[in-house]
Amino acid sequence: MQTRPRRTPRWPVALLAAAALTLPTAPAHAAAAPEPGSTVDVAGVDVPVHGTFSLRAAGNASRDLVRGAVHGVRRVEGGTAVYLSLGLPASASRSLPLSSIFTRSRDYESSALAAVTLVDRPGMTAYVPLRGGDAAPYSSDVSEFRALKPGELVVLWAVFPELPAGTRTVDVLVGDARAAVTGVPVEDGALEPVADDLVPQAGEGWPKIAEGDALAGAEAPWSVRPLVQHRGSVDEVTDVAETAEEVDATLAADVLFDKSSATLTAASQDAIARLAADIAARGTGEVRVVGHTDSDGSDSSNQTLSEQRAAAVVAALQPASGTAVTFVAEGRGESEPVAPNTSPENMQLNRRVTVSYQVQEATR
Amino acid sequence: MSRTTVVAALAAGVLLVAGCSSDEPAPAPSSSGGAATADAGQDHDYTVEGFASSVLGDGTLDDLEDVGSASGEIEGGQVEAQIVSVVADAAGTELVVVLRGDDTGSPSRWSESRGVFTDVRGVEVVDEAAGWRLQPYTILDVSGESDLGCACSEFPYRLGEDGTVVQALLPPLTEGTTSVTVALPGLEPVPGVAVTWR
Repeated sequence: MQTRPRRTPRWPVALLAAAALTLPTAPAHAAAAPEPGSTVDVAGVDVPVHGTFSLRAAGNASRDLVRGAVHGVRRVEGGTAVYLSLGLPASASRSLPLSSIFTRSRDYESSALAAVTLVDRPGMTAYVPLRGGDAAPYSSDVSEFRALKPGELVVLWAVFPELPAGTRTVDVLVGDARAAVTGVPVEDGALEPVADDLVPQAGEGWPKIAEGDALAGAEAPWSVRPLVQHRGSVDEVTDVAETAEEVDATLAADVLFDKSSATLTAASQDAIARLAADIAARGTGEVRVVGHTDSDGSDSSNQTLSEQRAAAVVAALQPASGTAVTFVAEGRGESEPVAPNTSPENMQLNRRVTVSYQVQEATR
Repeated sequence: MSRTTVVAALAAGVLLVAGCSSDEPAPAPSSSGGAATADAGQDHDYTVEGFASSVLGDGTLDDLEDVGSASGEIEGGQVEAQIVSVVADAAGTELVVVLRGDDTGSPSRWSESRGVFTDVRGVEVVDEAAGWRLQPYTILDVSGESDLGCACSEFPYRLGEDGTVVQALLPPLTEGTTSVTVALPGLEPVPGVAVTWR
């Protein structure tokens, strides 16, 4: 089913026009961009604007400012179409190659628009454009359009995998710079009317996208990527990296233990209690606890210390972690550093205990 | 805000601008921008050119908010950070910052502070109520093994006085949080940054 964009009354425009015509001294500034979530009539075409963005080509602040808008994330047959526009201000001194904003990727056809990403934070999933088109990419064909000209706002598109039925909004990351427009609603049907031009300007109609049979060659699973949520405790004891399925917590050994000791300190109790509560609430299966050391001392003493520390953490976690999980303790000694042991700061990072566990899907 | 409200506000803006000679940007229509006036007789909100002008602006970032700032010397050069917004909803938190610095003609600073990554994943928003420092999401490859990048901006290759917007998508804040501390690598943390909920 196709949903037409929301339209809004036009009487305020007439009021504005009348006001402007009676005010000849008004400075010649462009009007403000439409508010996110609005739909405006551009030369007879309904143009939704879900948010705007800015970026610098090649990350270079000496280049002209590129601005643009996201116009739609639309469910179409076989995929999800994203419409966005971008361009240079009329004051820009020269055109800008599209390749300086969207670098070509070896993973895609050379003419594909690859550097666009959809992020579903609640769903803990990211999506990249579909690939696999034999005859043409599943996106604007950038070989047909090489440069942005000052003052023109051109519309580009790319098709992504089908989003889950429950996904209502996504974030759109644009270009190599990953400029973000957040909270874009996922709506139904391709935008209309379709323009004759493959790369129209905003307001000239919408580019014809690939959908249905035209997406038959797409490798949809390849375009679906796990998202990782990161947070660290304010007391700087615990760092957590979490996907939809698994939690990886890293505990700072310098807080958990005194130097060269495998006896937990009083200062470790809050971190242990918080982790055990999370495991009890949503953990499932096996909880793997692994001790690591820095490179100080002999291999064998570090191996022993890491095993003892892992066992101490298991002993503290287990009583408060419920009955849905089992524990495994391991020591890796100094064999798996996360940073070169070349500075006190790095060595501190390497002294750690990691706790990994699966989470039940219903608890997310 | 609905478009009706926006356009009404725009009209009010025209009336205000008429009474002053400020050079500050104002939401007034123009013959060149043409946003709401040039084609109004044909009952359209914008012409193609006028709409483009309204989105593309004047090529500056002067219109962005400033809800906090930090500055300091990083790796031998001066860097200024203007915090534009911290926007929160149930889905997560968005941090928007403008980075400025002297254009030395060489790659931007923070090469040490940012570690091995080329993005701004080192930023943090501190949720005191929850006891967590929120950090940007990252994206794995299809196998779930390798880091493919960040749900945050690439670090600007070169800084400049005109500024570059960088953004980061972070986990949700505790509901009702009204202000946070924003931590930017190499600069002093910025406390008391107002949160906008949507």
